[in-house]
Amino acid sequence: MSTAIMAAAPKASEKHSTAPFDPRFPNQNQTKYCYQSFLDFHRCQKVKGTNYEPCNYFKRVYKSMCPNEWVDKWEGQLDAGTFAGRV
Amino acid sequence: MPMQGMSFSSLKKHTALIPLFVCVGVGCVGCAYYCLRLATRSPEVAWNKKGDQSPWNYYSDKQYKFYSPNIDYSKLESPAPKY
Amino acid sequence: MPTWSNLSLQDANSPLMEQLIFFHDHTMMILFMITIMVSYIMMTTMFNSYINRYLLENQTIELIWTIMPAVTLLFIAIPSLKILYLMDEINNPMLTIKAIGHQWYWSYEYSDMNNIEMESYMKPTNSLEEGDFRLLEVDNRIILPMKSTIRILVTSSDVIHSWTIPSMGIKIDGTPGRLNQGNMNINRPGLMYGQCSEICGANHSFMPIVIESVSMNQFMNWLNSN
Repeated sequence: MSTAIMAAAPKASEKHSTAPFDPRFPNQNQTKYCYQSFLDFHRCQKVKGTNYEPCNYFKRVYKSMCPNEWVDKWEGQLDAGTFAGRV
Repeated sequence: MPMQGMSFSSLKKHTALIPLFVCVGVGCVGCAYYCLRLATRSPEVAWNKKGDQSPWNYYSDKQYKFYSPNIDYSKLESPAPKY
Repeated sequence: MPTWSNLSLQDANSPLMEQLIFFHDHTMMILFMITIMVSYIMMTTMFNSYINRYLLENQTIELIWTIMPAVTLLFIAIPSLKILYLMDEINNPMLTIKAIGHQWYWSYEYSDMNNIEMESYMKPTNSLEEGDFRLLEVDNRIILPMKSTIRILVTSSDVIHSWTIPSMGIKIDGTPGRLNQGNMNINRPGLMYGQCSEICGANHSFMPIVIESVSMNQFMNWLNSN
């Protein structure tokens, strides 16, 4: 029925991509996806250094998923050394 | 006399109560099973501080939901790179 | 299309809403049948002169009127669960937008490529033009491409709000500190209206949502020009 319409893939247009579906976070609450990607990006940078390309996957994900207000607040906390997560 | 239908002998006399027990029984068992599944298998629940604090990582290649209309889960794996 | 004194559901603008309307009609049919049957039984029982002083248990009828409601409920539950899981279909969306509720306006962020942020306030009644809808128009509409899967993340920066578009069957609460995900797939180009659906203070009725759905080319042009 209309299931076919919903499952059909959209026409790929240019290189417009966004955070893909992550099976670790299948439910409606995507807060952890946003926060985990942010943590993963900073941990990845800490472990592999700033020029390691695959770390940018996490950066793209958290830029797409997290409200800018949250990102600014966390980055401010990171700079001030008051960020509560384990990076 | 005690309520009829609560013992096997009185139940045989009032056979119409059997579907009632079946329906209520299925409902109670189903509810209990679902709640236990949520408590123990949900990707967002961690019970004690010593255990795994990121239970969602367990689902990076498994399906949590009961039913998924498209079969994507078979070739599933979390797209995040490992480092 | 929202019009005043509208009693029915709005025309569907997404495949999910089409399914919801079918389910609504199916369940309404079952409800009508039950109501008519019960009314008929009540009428015939009230307006007859049959008397039976020894009417007591009857196993057959008890069996029937336990099994039949269970079957009826099954007929309602199975399509309902089907739609529930259909809504959670895994789809890799093409676009992610964020809707953040404030008191008393919405702000939207398109962060996939260039970071576009905009705020959407209701147009006050004295600045409406001819043909505009009172209490429904906004200054900046959300522009979205049609026929592509879009992920929307709703949150709030102060109190709980709810982002709603009835013609797409979407109602997502925005809670502070939490990101709720929904997805949509718009069938037709055009305008879709909705209003904040969770009491959030004095101007709760005055923070509407308007989606302007355009073709993919127009959307990419708009993205690149911002």
